[in-house]
Amino acid sequence: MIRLDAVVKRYPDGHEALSGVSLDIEAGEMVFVTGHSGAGKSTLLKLMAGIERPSSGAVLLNGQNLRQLSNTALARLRQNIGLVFQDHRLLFDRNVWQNVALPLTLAGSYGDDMKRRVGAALEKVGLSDKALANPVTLSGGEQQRVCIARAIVNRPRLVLADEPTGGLDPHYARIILDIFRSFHQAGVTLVIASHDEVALSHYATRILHLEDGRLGGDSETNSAEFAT
Amino acid sequence: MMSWFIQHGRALRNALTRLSRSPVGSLLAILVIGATLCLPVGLYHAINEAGTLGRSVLHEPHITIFMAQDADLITVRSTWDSLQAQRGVQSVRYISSEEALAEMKAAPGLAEALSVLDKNPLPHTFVVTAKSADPNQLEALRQEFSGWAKVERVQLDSEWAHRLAALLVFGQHLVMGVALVMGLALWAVIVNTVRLQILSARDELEVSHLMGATRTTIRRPFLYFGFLQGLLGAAAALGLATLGIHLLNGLLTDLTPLFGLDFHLQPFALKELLLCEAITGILGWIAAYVSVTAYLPRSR
Repeated sequence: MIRLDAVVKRYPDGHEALSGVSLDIEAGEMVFVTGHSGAGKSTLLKLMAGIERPSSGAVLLNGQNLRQLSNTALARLRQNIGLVFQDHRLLFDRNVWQNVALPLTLAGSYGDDMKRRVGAALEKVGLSDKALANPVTLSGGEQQRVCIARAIVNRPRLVLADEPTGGLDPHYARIILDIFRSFHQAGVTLVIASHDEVALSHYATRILHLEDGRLGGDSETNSAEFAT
Repeated sequence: MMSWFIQHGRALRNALTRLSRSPVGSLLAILVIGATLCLPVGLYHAINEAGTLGRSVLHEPHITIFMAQDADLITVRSTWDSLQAQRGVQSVRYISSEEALAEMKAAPGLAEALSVLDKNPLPHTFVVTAKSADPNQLEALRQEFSGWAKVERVQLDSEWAHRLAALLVFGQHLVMGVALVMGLALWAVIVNTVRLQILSARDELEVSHLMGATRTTIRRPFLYFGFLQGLLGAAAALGLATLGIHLLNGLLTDLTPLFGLDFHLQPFALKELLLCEAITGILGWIAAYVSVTAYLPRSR
């Protein structure tokens, strides 16, 4: 599903965030990306989402080389990718329902179909009763669940999550990870950047380790909890 | 197709929300646009109206021939016949010196002054309506009549209208210049307000970009915003100009009779209103497009 071939990402200030990274992720995998702060995890996810373009090398998503796509084509591609951010990126001038509906609005959905999809997404993350609340009144864990509902409302086949449990207490982190696991079981491909030890030890089946922009390790695991 | 309408409807609603979110700021911006446009719009209308007055005079080109005091009735009769035979003459009206005196005596205040005169000082007069309003042909007629026997003076009544027409052409050029400068000011106001809107909506734009909004989708509400500002600004300008016309007409009521004219500025015609709204709306749309292109964050 995702292939990176000798990808280099160099920013205008000369900093090289990724240096010759090559990897393959199959459809339906749940992959964790680890590494210390500044190792290039977020950059890797941004390249996979087509938010940024590689300086050299190729990022292929379902066989499409993202480097060769126009900005408009990349934007349309992102409409089919679920993105989850550590800082949630919610809009506080609108309620939970409107935040979750945003990707559908941008894709031109309307009417009953939109209501049904937003309702299903909120139910999936257990926030149906908070639909009319302003996100600012929610806890960090609830805000993250709103962010996840927004990411899945378009029913994407790929979800990219950047530190989704960062800053959350273990209880909320576990809820979030359980939600991701249910997506994985439903066949969704997940790439999660995280250095959450609990997540890695209990939920990861494959871990990519980044060190200073290079792929330092790629290992399969047998998570006991995941197997249950 | 339905989706297209839905997207545009949402963009329009988004633009209206932006306008209503800060009503004082929006109102001030619209008033600035209105005040900026009021001058060229009002001047353009006034010049057009004055042009209509001038053209109505030019459509009936009159030449007045004043005979000499000692011209006898035989000479006057001969002049009448010559005028009737003239090819460039449409019609002739004869006003005898007695008729002219009687008309003057009817005017308030003049009767007493005329009664002290021992003889009638007014000459026999012909008012000639020419076939053509062409200034050169009128001038040729004036020169020919001036050469006739016992003709004291020939006056081209539409001469002032020609001067007015020349002045109006100058005025139209002046208005174009003013409109250009004011159009630039309008442009700057809309570019700046859209820029401020983009800055205040940075989070929303960033999230929309991440969620897969194309630049067209992101740009659309701002284009409607600029368009609406243009429309409302034009409405404010037309309102202010209409108020100006109303006030000016009050002054003209006293002024124009002194020049023997009955002239009032008419209100804006529907065509003028629509043209002004369309031009300003389109200008607002283009200004917003420029602003959005310049200030929207670009993907790396």
